[in-house]
Amino acid sequence: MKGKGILLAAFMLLLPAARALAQADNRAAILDNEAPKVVNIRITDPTPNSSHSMIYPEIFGIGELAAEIEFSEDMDTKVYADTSKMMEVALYLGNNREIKITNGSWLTRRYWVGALDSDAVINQFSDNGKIWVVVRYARDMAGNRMNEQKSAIYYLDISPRFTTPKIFPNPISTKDFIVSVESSEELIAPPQIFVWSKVVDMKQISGTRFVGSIYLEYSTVGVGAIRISGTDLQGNTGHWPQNVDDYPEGSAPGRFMVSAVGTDGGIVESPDGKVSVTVPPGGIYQEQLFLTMTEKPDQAEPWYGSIVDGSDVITVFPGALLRGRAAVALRSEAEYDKIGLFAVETGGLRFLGRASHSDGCLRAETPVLGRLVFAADSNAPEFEITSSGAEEASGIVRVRITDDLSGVDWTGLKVTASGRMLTADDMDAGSGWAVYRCPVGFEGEMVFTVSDQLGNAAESRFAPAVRATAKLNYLRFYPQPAFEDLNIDFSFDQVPGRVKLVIYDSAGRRVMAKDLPAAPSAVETVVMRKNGRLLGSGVYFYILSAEFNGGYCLEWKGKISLLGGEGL
Amino acid sequence: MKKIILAVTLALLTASTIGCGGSSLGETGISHYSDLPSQELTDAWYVFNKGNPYSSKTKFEQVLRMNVTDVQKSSAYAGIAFAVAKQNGILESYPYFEKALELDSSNRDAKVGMAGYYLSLADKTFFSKGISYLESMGVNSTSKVFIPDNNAELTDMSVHALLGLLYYYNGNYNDGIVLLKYAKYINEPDPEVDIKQVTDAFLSGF
Repeated sequence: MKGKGILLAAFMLLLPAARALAQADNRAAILDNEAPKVVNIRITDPTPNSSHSMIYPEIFGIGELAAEIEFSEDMDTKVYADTSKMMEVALYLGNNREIKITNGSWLTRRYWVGALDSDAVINQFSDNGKIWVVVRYARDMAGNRMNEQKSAIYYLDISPRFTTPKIFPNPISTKDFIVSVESSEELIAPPQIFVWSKVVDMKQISGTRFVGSIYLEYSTVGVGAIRISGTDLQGNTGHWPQNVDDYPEGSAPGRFMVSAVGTDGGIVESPDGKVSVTVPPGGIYQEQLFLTMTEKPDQAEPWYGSIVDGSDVITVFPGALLRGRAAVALRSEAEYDKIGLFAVETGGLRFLGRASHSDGCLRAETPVLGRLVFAADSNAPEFEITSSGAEEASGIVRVRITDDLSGVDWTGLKVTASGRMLTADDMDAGSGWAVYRCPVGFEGEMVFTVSDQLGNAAESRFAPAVRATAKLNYLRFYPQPAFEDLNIDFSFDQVPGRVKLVIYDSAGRRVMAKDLPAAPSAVETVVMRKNGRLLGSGVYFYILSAEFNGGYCLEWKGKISLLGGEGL
Repeated sequence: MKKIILAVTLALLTASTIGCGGSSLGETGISHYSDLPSQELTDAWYVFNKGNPYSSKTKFEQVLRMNVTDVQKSSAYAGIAFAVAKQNGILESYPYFEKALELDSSNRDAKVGMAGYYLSLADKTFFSKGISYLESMGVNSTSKVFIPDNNAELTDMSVHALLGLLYYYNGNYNDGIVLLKYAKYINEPDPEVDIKQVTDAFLSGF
């Protein structure tokens, strides 16, 4: 009895505290009437990187995807028989198709994780892998239901897809043929072609376009098939045909037919290694890549070739063996007057030769293999005359000739000064420079004419301000008249590069020439003999010329007299 | 013989002939010093005789722009002629000598210059003209001492040598040799000195 009394007393003492606690809890429940919020929705691993090693066949390149949802407060995590009372998480694809995620679980009262059904994603994928997650119906502890919330947009990276490959030629009459294909995205490496027991690496000809050549060591008349596999930058591997079940052994469209084995008459490579490029009427169509590509097993570097563009640009890869079906779309005949064949190089186009056209065909021969294009050029070369003031004063004129496309015909470069043809002192066709020297005392215009390789001609005129800066201090001939020995005494104000004396008779015939010391001053004796005989008496004319460091030449002219020795 | 000719010709006509002649001014012959040339003309010849033909030419040209007599003008033209001869050769001097003689037909310097010009033409058809200019001044006689008007380079030796050359090339060998030997003698009377030494002496002056 005494114990019951103690318990009662204790109950009485604790009752107010229990009531207080109950009241406090009721106040809290009454105050929380706000809907819970999602703090974060995250879709993990949208770009798997482990599938590239899986070549075959049903691995679709999607790894383990998961949706992670974080709430702002503790949520009601109970499982109810009535699913309408529970949170719903749905994955949406690009076409708004909804896939409910039912296999998620609460890690805490605020954090939920659910795995995505990758099969469902892949099988119903659309819109370039666009996905998002929607969360709805979740309730907090007070029973407040959340408003529907949507995640950010994510993109799945899926396996690359390939267009239906084109096989040329088909039927095959030789052991070689080419396959071209385009992938839906960039690849980490060119795709591979599988044909019978052979695996061939394709070559990239543009961003997502690839060609591969197959050389069949053996062939059998009949039908074969190819398949192609390639891996994107994220490691996802795609295939053509897309599903292994579609592997077209002997079925369209990836089949090829071996009709015969022998030499194909369409190869137009000449014995000297030059490739004749012929573009027949009809043009190339963007989707029709007609060019034979050959890979010869006995050569270190395989040969490849392709025509890749229908907009008047032909690209020929090394070793291309063209067949007659490649063509640009012909325009009017007049438009083909100035068309050349060019090599596509790092620094731009390099002119290879002029194209001829007849019967609606463009033809050109190239001495090199590589990327080649036909292009029109109706622009003439341009002149840029740049000489320093000192050079110009010395009569040195530097001219730079540039052409935007079809090169400069340097052999046809003509420069005249007062109608007199000048020969270049120096010329560097590689860098486009030529250096000319004006005649001494030149006054007037220099006329430059040049044409490019396609015959577009240009003319430029330039009037250099030529002035001589060297000065003759004195020049004396003695004795006058001279007998056998004529002494020459000269002095310049600077050191000459070369000094030469030429003597002419009264009829203007050159009777003597002598190089004099290249010194600022000198005295030199000239024996007035020709072929061992003294020159006859009379008045002679001299021209003393001197070249100076600037490259210009000065001349002095005058008369001297000679009393021949015959009478003495 | 050639060496003698060379030596005396150098002395006569070249630009920097050393002054080794033995003439004495004013004792014999005809002089035009009584004409009292202007101070400018005197200065110009002084500069020329000092060996500056280029500067003297400018001064002679200045004289021509002044109010001077024909005789003075003639002297200035002769000076220009000799300056031009030093610059461009005596073949270029003819018009100036001609002008000088036109203004004063007794200009002795101009007469010698004209004779030198005719020699320099190296054409026998003209040698007689040169001879007549020198003979008019008595140079054909070894007893005559030639005294120039102003050009100190025209020594008695060189003028006799010039006439000797003209004689010789004109076909009068004997008279030519006589005058050339005389010229050599008055230039270098020591018989021990051969003609080569004389020639070298002339050449070393350049």
